[in-house]
Amino acid sequence: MLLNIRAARRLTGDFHILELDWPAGMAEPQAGQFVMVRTREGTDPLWRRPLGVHDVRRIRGVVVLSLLFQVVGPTTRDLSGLAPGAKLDLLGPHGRGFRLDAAEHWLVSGGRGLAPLFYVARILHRTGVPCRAFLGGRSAEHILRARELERLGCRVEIATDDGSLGRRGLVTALVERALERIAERRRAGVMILACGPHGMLKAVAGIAAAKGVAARVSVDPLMACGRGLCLGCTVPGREGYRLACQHGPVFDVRDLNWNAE
Amino acid sequence: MTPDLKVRIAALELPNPVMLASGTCGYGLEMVPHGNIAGIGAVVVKGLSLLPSKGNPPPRIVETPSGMLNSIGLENIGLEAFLADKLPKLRRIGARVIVNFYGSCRDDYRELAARLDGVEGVVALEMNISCPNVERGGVLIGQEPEEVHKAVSAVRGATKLPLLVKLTPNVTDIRVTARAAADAGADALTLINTLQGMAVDVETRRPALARIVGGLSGPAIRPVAVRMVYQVRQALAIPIIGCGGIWTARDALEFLIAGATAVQLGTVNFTHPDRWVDVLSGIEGYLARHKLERVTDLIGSLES
Repeated sequence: MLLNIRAARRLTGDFHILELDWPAGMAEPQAGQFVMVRTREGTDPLWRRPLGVHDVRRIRGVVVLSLLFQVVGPTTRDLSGLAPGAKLDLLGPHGRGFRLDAAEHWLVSGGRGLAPLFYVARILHRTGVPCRAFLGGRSAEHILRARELERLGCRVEIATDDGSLGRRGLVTALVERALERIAERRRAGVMILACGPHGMLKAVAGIAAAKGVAARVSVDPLMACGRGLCLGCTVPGREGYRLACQHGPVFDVRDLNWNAE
Repeated sequence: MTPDLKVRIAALELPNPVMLASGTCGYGLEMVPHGNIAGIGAVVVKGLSLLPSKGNPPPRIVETPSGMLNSIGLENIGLEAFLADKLPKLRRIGARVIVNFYGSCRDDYRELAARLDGVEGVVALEMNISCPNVERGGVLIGQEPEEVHKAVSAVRGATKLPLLVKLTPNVTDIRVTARAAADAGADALTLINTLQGMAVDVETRRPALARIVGGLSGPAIRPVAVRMVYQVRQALAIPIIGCGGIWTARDALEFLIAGATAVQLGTVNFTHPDRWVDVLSGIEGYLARHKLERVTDLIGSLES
């Protein structure tokens, strides 16, 4: 389907946001789901690209879907050039999203991994459930939407590889320290929701296991179809392979095999 | 006047010549949100084995110029689960189902064919002796003319259903294996399965696929597929189903003109799940524009 672009803006560096009018009557995108987009006619690139549901708002009765992306290739470069009034060819929403059923949620992102987590903060803000955000990135430019998250009631902590914003080091170290600072009883009510590079997700899985907290991650393998046709986006599960597009992209860390090569 | 799109492949009569290729449309039901699948000539479901198969380790796919490499490894739910969970739904919808199947040895092939023979709702079988991504069976059978003959003969003896044999392009002369399959009793040939290929991540110096070599599909292979359809058409009388990189109605017409009786859409389904609708209307429009009453007037009509 073709969606109307309502707004387009650059956040910092290579990071951009597009806002699209979601068609009335279509199933509303859920937090953690994704859409498949394409920007060119022809066969290069061949596949659509998956983008996480970044935000959903209702503006004067219209459902508005936001997509956050980093320019990394031809499709995202095209997306960064789209202006309000243009159309975007999109399929979805696909996949199983986040279930938000804990007493408090801690969002952990690496760079553009914030994309599917932001909408979680908005939902939790609406429902009054406590939410913290731990944002990691290479440098200050890779730390996205920290102020908006604070406005949504999140306590935000930041770590960068070069120390240009927040603490120098890994975001997972912040999470680990924060967990150590709360009482064990409170830990039982914490749900970590994470999205970012594989190494970060693996570290989150390790911390969750060590500290006895629950964690779910959104994974991002290469995808051709996004809806169970090609069976290409497999990730190693505890028991056999799992399809990111159908069984995920959100998985409980205990359901994935973190030692698979 | 609306052109007549009906085609006949041995005993198999189809309302139109457009099928969805095995491995690109799930078990057919995955395509339901994108259109009335009863309107498709036939749906060729994901290759089935006797027992469920978990397929190959990831990464399994990578994008290449106008194409993609895959090494799925024939992951599937197995024959029993298909018959119990998928086929009844496909029947209710009214889809024409062709079951693609594969085994690791000749006995597997024969048993699968025997168990599918006479199953209500299956209009034909497509025998896969061309998958490049499995250790046994697959392309290892499909590259040897004698093995092709033996395997197809075994399956022919086990089923009365129309039998399609899907051949691999990874051979020196496609006409040799095509003839072997035809002589052994195949009713039609599906040309082509994927071409073996490979891609390297130069930063990590690792192969892009876990199994290193995979199968190339998509528009990049279309000229190879058209050539093979043409060559087999020139050499043999057996009906051909053309497959390989069809992206538009124009591409499908290319295959029909080169000698295919029907076509299969494959990789395009990943990007455009409803493309079969456009391909059908595009063929119809072409026939009208060229004042042809029947699509069969077009088949093998290459001027040379």
